[in-house]
Order: sequence, then C-alpha cells, then structure tokens
Amino acid sequence: MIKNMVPVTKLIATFAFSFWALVMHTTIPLIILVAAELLILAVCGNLQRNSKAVGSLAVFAVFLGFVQLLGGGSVESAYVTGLRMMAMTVVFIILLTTTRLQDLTAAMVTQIKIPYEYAFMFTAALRFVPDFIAESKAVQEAQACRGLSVKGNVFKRMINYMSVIQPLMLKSLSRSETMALSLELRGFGSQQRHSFMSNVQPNAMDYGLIGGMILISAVVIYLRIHGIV
Amino acid sequence: MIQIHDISKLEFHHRQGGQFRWITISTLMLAIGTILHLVSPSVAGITPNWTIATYCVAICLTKPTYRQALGIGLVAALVNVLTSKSGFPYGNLISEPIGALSCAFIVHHFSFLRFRGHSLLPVITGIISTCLSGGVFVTILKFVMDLPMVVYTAGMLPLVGVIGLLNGIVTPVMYYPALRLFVSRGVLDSLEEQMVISDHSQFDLKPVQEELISLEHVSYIYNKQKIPVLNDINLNIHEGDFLVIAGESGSGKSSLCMTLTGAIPHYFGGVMKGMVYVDGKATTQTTISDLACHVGMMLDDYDSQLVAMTVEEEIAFSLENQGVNPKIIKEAITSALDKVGLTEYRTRELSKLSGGQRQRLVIAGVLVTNPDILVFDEPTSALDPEGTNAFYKLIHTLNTRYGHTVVIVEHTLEAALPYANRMVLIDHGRILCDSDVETVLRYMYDTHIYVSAIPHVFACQLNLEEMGYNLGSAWLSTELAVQELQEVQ
Amino acid sequence: MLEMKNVNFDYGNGVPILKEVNLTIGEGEFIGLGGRNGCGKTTVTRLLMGLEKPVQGDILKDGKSIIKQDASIRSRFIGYVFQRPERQMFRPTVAQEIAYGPQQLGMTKKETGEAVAEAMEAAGLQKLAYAYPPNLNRGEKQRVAIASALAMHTQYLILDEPTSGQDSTEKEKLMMLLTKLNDAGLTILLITHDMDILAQYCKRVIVMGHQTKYFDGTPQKLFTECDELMDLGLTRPQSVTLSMAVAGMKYCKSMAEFQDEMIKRLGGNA
Repeated sequence: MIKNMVPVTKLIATFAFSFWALVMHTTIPLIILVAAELLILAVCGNLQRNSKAVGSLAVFAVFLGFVQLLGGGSVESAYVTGLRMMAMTVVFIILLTTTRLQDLTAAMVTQIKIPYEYAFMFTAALRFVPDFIAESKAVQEAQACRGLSVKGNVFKRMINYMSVIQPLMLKSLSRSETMALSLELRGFGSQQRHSFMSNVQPNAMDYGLIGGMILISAVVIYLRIHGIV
Repeated sequence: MIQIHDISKLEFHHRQGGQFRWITISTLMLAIGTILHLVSPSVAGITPNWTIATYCVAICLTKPTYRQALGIGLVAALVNVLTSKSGFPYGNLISEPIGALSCAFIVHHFSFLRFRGHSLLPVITGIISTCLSGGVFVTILKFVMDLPMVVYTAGMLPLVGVIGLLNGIVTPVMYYPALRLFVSRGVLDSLEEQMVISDHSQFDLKPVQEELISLEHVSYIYNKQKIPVLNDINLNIHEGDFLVIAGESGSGKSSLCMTLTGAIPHYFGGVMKGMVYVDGKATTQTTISDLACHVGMMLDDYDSQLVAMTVEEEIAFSLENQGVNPKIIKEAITSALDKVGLTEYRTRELSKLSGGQRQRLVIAGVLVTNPDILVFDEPTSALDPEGTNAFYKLIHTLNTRYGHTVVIVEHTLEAALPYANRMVLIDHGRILCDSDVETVLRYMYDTHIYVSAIPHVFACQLNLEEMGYNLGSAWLSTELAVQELQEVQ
Repeated sequence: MLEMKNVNFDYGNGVPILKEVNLTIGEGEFIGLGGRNGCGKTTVTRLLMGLEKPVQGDILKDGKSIIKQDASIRSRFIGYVFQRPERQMFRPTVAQEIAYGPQQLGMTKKETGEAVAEAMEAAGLQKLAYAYPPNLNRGEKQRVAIASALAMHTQYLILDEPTSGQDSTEKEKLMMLLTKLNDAGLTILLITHDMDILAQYCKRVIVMGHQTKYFDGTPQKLFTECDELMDLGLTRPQSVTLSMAVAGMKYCKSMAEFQDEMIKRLGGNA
C-alpha cells in the first residue's frame, strides 16, 4: 500500500509523524510511534537494506539520550529525547526508500512549488556522485603511483588529501562550461511549463489517508493537552 | 520588413551566455562535497563540513542572487538528507539555506577585502557561514530534543566554532585553484560584459538556395579575440549527407558546429557576420530551443551532457523541458532507444553503463526531439578501435536507414571516411576544399595542409603516385588497397 | 628485472581474471601489451605496480619479492602513466607539477630542481615549464605525466593507452619520445589497442587471452604466424596486411617500410 501512495502523501505523513513525536512527551507513546515506523519499514521490505542507516541513527539517538542525562535531565527525559530523535528521522528513511527519485522531484515541483532549477540541481548532483566516487579512487591511485603514501599523522594526511581533492575538483569543474552549454541546447529553463513523465496526482486513497492523519493529529493534541501523552 | 542586399555585412552581436553557469558549478561542487565526506581524514570524528565548504566555494565563484543562493542551500540540505549524511533532516533543511544566504551576503558586500592580491572571501565565508549554519543546526536540535543548556553552550557551540575554523582552511584551499582554472579560460570575467544584444526581427532574411542548412558568408569573432575564428564561410548541406569536417586544431571546426545549433550566435559572446539558415529560417531570428528540433548536437565531452539518474529520465529531459505531454514523451523514448539499440536498458541507472553505452545514450537524448541533422564534435576521442567501429556503424544506420543528415568533426579520418559522401577542409576559419572524400584528400596532399590526417594507406599511394607509379584506383581503405594490389600484380 | 610468478587474480566474486600468469620483463625492453577489452592486460600492469595484490603467486624485482610493497613504494622504480593524465594534475605550473613526485619521495629542494630540469629536457617540455597544465592539449599532458614519472628516476615505465584520442602527429611525437627514452635505458611496457604501434615500435609483444599470457614474442611472429588474431581481439597492422597482399614481399613493420619495398618492387630508387 505504501508503494501506491503518491509522494505528496508520504511527505505529509513524514511531517505528521514528526509532529506527533514533537507533541508527545512521555516514553510509552513514543515507543509505540517508533515501533510503528519500524513496522512500516519492515512491511515495505526495506528493513534489511536500511539496517545500517537505522542502526547509526539509533546510535546517535542513544548518544543524545546520554547527553541529556549528563546535562542533568531525568532518565525519563533521556528516553524521550532518544525516542523522539528516532521517530523524527526513521520516517525520512521510509520516505526515501519507498519513493522513486523522479516521482519525488515531480511532486516537489508541481505540488510543493519548488522551482524546477532546484529540483534539477538535486538530481544532477546525485547523478554525478557515483562518477566522482570512481574518479576519486582513480586520482588516489594516480597520486599513489607518484609516491603519495596514506600513512603519517593527521596533518600530513590532510595535506596529502588535498592532492586528491584538487585534481578531482579541477577535472569536474572543467566540465561546467560544457554542461552549461548542453543545458541551453536541450531547452533547459525555457519559458514553457516543465512537464513530467511521472504522474503524481493524489487519488481518493491518498486524500483519505491525509484526512486520517489530520484526525490523528487532532487526537494527539487533545491527549497532550490532557496530559496523557 | 527590411530587405538585406549584402548578407556578408549583416552583423549580430551577443554577450557571452552562461545563465546556467551558477547551476552547473553548484551542482558539481555539491556532488564533490558529498563524496569528500566519504573519504575525509578526521580527528576523533571531527572533520571539516565539506558540504558547507563546497557550496561556499560555488557561491564565491559564481556570485549568485539571493534567490539562487537559497536554492543552493536547499539543494545542499536535500542532497545530505538523501545520501543519509544528515543526522537530523529538519535541522539541515533550515541551516543550510541560512548558511548559503549568509555566504551570498558576504560575497555581495565584502568582495573588496583582499590580502596581498588574493581575495579574503573564501576564508571569511568559510568561517562565518559554517558557524552560522552550524549554530542554527545545533540550536534547532537543542530545542526540538530538549537538550540541556550546558551541553549546548559548553559542547555544541564550541564544536561548531572548531569546524568553522577548519572550514576557514579548506574553503580557500579549494577556491583558489578553481578560480585559477576559470580565469585561465576567461570564463568568469564575462559577467561584466556590457554588450548590446542585436535584434534581427525586423529583417526579411531568406536563403539564396533552398537547402537543409546553408551558411552564407559567415564570419565570427569571439569578443576577446582579435582574429576571426570563421572567415567568410559558404557551405550548403544537403539532405542525407554524411559530411566530415577536417582541419587542424584551432582551425574553426568546433565553432562551425556551433553555428549549426545556434550556440553561435545565441550563446557565445562575439560578433557574427553573414547568415546561417537552418530549414530556411535564419538562426539569428530563432532561438536555440527552436533549432533543437532541427539540429541535435553531441559535444566532445559527452559525459557532461548526461544529467539524470536513469536512462529513461535522461532521454526524456529535452522533451520535459519543452513541456511535451507525458504520453508522447514515453513513445519518443521507445523510438529513440530502438534506434540506438539500448531498448533493454530503459530503466538502468547511468552509473551502471559502460562508456560506449553512455555515448549511445547521449545520442538517444539528442534523437528524441527528432532533429533532421545530427552534429558530432570529435566523438571517438575517448573510444578504442572496437568502440569507434561500433559508433560509426550506428551513425551509418542513422544516416541510411533513418535518413538523418550527419555532420562529423573528426581527426581520425580512417574511421569516418568509409561512410562519408562528402568532406570539407577548414584552415584558419576558411573552407579550402569542399568535395568528395578523395578530391579533398588529394587537395590536402597537394597543398601540404593537415597532411598528417590523411589515412596512411592512401598517403602511401599518393607518395608512390608522385614518384610516377600508377596503382589503380584510390586506396581509401586497407581493403580497397589490398584489392588493387592484387589486381596490379 | 621484474617477474610475475604463477600469479592468479580475481575480484573475489568467483570470476577468474588471471590464471597462472608467468612473465619476465628485462631491463631495457620495449614491450607492447595487447588483447581484447577485459582480457586482463590492465590488471597485469596494476599488479606489477602494486595497485592490486595477487590472490596467489609472487611478484619479484631482481629476484626479491616486492609483493608487500604498495604502489607508493614501488613508485621509486616503476612509473605509471594513466590513460587520462589530467586526473593527477593540480599544480599551477608544469614545473611544479613534475616536482610533485620527487617531493613525495623526500628529495631535497636542490635534488628536486635537478630532477625536474632533467625530466623536462628528456620530454621536450622546456618551453612549457610555466604553462598551466589543465589548458594543455592531450599530447602535451601525456608528456607532462611522463616527465612526472621520469623525475622520480624510475627504471621501468608503464603506460596505459597513451596515444588514444590523439591525432597522427601527436602519436608520432609521443612514440619517438618513448623510443628515445628506451634507447637511453628506460624499460617500457605499453598497453595499446593500436596494432600499428605494436608493429612499428615494440620489440616484444605480450598478448593476454583466455585468462593467461597467450602470446609472448616478436610483433613479426604475432602478425605473420599466429592464427588466432581475431580470437584474441586483434587485427593486423595496415603495413603488414598490405605487405602480405604483395606476393613475395617481406614483413613490413611500418607504412614507411612498405613504401620503400614497393618502390624497390616497382623498379625505381628509394
């Protein structure tokens, strides 16, 4: 079912879960919230793939909990801090692993009205990341063949690292002119409205879910006012 | 409508384009910032904040408006969130735009600060933007997570300060080499060009002959140059031609290709004389976008033309920019994939394609707007012999089976000549010879111009002919030479 | 002398790249390394350089095992020129760029200066000493990369497809430079797809095929006696194809030789 949700619904869900995590300030409801999120992640079949990311978020959450304790907070507040952290960030993992990038950008531009140039920069930057990773390895090898060693103290390693960053940066930046020309040749930024291949219009189920989330938010606020959550 | 009597005197002025330079530089810098995080050396987990450092460099280089800087910050945050570098997305989504805006503010108001001739901008922006962005981030974290004040003041804020100082070191280290690169290519100071842009809309411009493409008395001189790069070029390209353009480097071949797509005169800064007609329309009276439906070009660094994550999105890019209906886009993609033979790779990610496949993808992206004419600028420089053969077979199919007119700039003539029906020799901006392949090669040999590009087998025959020996018809390829040799014996 | 003894290599996913490779590179040789894409020729050079470690087998220099030395240590005696030399360039001038290697090796300022001057002279780069490397053309960048390796006083030089993407004049200039360096004593190992270069300049050709060293001998033997050229992903150089088309003509390793032979044949003076 998650896969059939349109990106804008999932975005609203992300904010809704975060909102609930903010409003709740006792341990048990937050545990339920986090468990619900992990359950959703498992149901989508993505728990395995994202276990590393979830794990490091959990570590960070525990760390924050400790910080809270050290700073003079109560044990309860430490739990709340840690769990709130988990609740507000795991939901992003759900959003990102269940949504195709092109659908997300289509939603961002057509529904959230983010200018298309920003969405383009976003996907284009990500497109270059694997290429640059390979390139940085190649640069490191080339410099190693000229005597660059990876041992030494931190300062030496930082200076050596510069001889990997600078060539990489220069090679990539020398493409920026060709890229700018290519964008113009392909009609980028022309006055016409940009169309998208992905269809991200919400349907009845989406509206239903959004309505449901608004309802739950009202309930959560009500419960909070009465001190229950 | 005003009539023109001498087209060779009609001028068109333009300033150097590059309205998207801020986008391309920022995109590339953000991508670099992302990977630097992956392999950065660190002390006890503390590293410079590479994301902020790289967007500060981008902003110092391109001096964007506040709206553009806001976009850069927002995209930086989104990229961090998507690559799971963000420990707390809400914090980044607010702190990075603030960091970028503060950087833009400093760049716009304090660029006069220099030390020994070098700008102090990278150091200042590195420190201040990082501290501001980091400060906002930890403040949001503190209030949302309800962290104790003592941790905030004694732990988090000093940490932000340390990272700010680290950034104050790495930002200039990245900025100065980048600045040197752009200055050496004369790119950035073009922002100050104050030239007027000509308007030809009131002229009645018609080609002398009805051809697919015709260049009449075309000359072009770049704004900073003294010598024209194109000098009184007259050329007619017929439908179905497979034209090879040959000449030494710097002879004007690439500039000639640029006139066909409209990049000259509408993108580059310079003065064009004469006229280029594509499908009967004068290029000074149309836009690059309109011309893209007639002429598609593959630039020599084809990797920088690829901008999407999957094959499908890449091909759809040009059509999406024109606002074409999604259903039509999907059909156009199918047809383009079919022509280049990449149908089974439709949903494949770009990073998983080989070099030759990527090149075919660029071609598909060009074919999708259905241009009649395809232009290639040194397409085989990065390919091995196998790849070169595969490439030319594909182009030959596009030329003969699908009817595209092909214009190729090539210096490895052996590969292209078997398929070419026509060749043009350019030297110092002038067309010296425009004829079939053998005639032009002989011309090159007789006038000692660009002799090194003559295929070695044919050059050998020409040498022997000069000594008085007749060896049959032209040895334009090794196979033909073998045939002739066997007959002569 | 560099040796590979019984080297096996794969990337750990079960697909073997190299099986039982034995090869010896003597000092002063000029060797061409060929084969189809994916045959392992680049892998062989990477193993020699220390960029990869063999799964089994040993790599020796002058009889001593160097398998534990990584690339930065082997760079003292082996230089590696990559296919895309712009990847490693970041200094403001050519001279400073060439100085990078010697500086990494720990040479003093004086020694570095001398090494750089020698290398620039050997590679013909004196006029470009203060040029900005990213703006040089492909052939000039290759020569800067070669000079960068020479300045480290290496005995062996490995080049990965140095002439790809270059026009005839640049190719010839580069190959003449390599020949000159080889005559002066530098051992050269050249990966190339260009059959004409293999025939004209290399004194020995190694062809990798079927996951091992398939052919090791002179270019003449390869192009006239080997039946499996197509199988190995190779073709004949133009001069050899033409000389074989003329009855009774000897093996011609370059078009210049073929031309001379034709002149003799047709009864004139050369």
